[in-house]
Amino acid sequence: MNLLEIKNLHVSVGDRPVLQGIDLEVPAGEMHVIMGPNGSGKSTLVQTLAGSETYTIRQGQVRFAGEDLLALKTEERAHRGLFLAFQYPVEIPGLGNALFLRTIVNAIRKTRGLPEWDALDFLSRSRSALEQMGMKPELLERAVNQGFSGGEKKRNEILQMRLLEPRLALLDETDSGLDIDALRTVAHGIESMRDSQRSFLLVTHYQRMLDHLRPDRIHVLINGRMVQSGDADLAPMLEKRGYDWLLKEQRA
Amino acid sequence: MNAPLEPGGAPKPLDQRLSWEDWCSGLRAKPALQTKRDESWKYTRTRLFEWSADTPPTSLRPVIQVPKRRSGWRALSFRQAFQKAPDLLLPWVGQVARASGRVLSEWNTQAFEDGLLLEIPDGLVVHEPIEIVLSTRNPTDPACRSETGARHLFPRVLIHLGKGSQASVIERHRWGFEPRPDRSAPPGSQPQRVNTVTEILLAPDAALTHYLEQTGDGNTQAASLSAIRLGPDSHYTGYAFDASTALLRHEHHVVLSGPGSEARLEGLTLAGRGEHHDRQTWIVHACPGTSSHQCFHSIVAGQGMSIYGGQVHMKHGASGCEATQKNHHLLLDPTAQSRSRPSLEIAVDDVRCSHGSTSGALDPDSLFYLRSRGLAETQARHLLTLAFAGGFLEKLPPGALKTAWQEAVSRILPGME
Repeated sequence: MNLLEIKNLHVSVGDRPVLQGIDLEVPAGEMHVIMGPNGSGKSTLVQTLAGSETYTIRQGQVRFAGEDLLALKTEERAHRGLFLAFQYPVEIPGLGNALFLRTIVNAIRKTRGLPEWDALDFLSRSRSALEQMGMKPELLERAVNQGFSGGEKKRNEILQMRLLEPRLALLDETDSGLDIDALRTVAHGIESMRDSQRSFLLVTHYQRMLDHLRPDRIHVLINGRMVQSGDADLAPMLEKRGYDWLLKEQRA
Repeated sequence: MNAPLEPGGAPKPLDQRLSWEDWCSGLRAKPALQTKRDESWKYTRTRLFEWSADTPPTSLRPVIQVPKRRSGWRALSFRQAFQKAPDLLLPWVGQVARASGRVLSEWNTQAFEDGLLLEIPDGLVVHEPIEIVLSTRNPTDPACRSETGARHLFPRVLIHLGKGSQASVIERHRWGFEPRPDRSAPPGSQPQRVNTVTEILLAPDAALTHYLEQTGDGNTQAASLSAIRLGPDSHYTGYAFDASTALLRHEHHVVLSGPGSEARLEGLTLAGRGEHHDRQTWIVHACPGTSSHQCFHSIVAGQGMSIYGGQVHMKHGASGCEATQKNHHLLLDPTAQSRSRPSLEIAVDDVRCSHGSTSGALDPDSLFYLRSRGLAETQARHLLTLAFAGGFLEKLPPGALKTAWQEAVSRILPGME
């Protein structure tokens, strides 16, 4: 069964078309990867799915677990189990990371009919997740992402994913800006979340994180269109040959 | 070493035959209120001065509460001090505020009936904060229960910190009536009009943490002046929080008159719907090696107005000084307004100064981030607004007051959003 189904999606920023007829199906339990050159529309796609108001949907349909995703507000999409790990997580001075994490966990738990966590529950339950992500406990005491290194911000995103336990995780260049050890930790954090019901849609430029994961499908997005799909072997080929040959094929 | 703290001219020998009335008359002999035309009054002048003209000769006395247990420090009314400690009172009243020569102190001097003198003697370290409450919310006082008739109040406070002393003073101004659930004033009530002046002297090596909380109601029109003069190597830290007042003008005047003295000012304004809050700071670096740092936040709701005007003066000869000046306005609604007028006047070369100002709505990217985590838009806005207030609240030293102000902000903000 497909958890996510995108049909003929057209999206623009102002008058400039960015996505020009995207079709994509992600079955439950699978990990799909979107690759493509800069400016091809990868981030636009995941941001649109998460409900960003920067983009205008011109045409198309998106169904998530059988429901019309585009009819839902941003927060309602999160309530249904959608999660976006941001490429550039925002810094929020004045808002403590621990309070932030506990608030979002409780917002989601409430929609699932689960009891809310108090501060003590949160501390005890987040500790193991924090350790697994190789994060120092003092990162909970700081303001959200403020003064975090690039790697710490990405780990904080994956920490949120682990705490919120989404059905579909959209990971927007989560591997960028990570050193080798951090990449392994983050990849392990993602891999350990995989199960038969949870799906992933990764946006990346590089093969290196995929070495740690076992993606089911690779899709190539160029100029707002999906031009190629294949199994996990497509990624090393793209790494070797680049995108020029696909661009030429597209022109031909 | 006392020279920088001398009042204007050497104190005259006290005339034992001088009566309280004579002294007050002498203070008031100078011309009263002049309508100042300086830029700091640009946005508030008309509204605040509407009522100054009809000030009655007698005014309502505020209730002043000070702790009964006093560990070595003194609290006296001005009338008591006139008899018991004239040397702490007579040479100083009006002298600290006079340095800035502004309207508010002159206006208060014309009308105050009494005041509060606080003395922290040399070398005393007071561990518990000293709380002063200036209020009209006293249910046992018939005048405070009356809901009709305009009331004018001119509270006056003078604080001396002796050499090497240390203390924290919490100054609470509570005007108007107890807040009603809908924040409206009781039916038939008239505006309460208040002009408070607090003068503070820090002797060499003294350190004061000064908390100023100002709240009122939908009818209150309040002006207040905090005038501080710092001796050599003394430290002043001021935290100002004001909310729920129809019209408020607060002036923070600091004269760094001793080498090595330091002042730090922080503030948070919550200007609710239709409220007008105006904060002006005026900092004079009169000696070398002095420093001042100020950072003010304000949150403004619909039809509200928040003004920040900051002046820093580096006087000739005040080399090696440092001053920073920041202010941030958060506008919760398209009809909320803010004004910023930072200014630096530098008459010496070897100094470091900086200022920065921001004004705007909540960041849409931050809102999207929080909503993408499952928070409803109202909840996301509330959290971001609290986070903005956190820029002030997080700087407060841990303690009961920090908790109280955090709770006050959490209580007041939902009515503004």
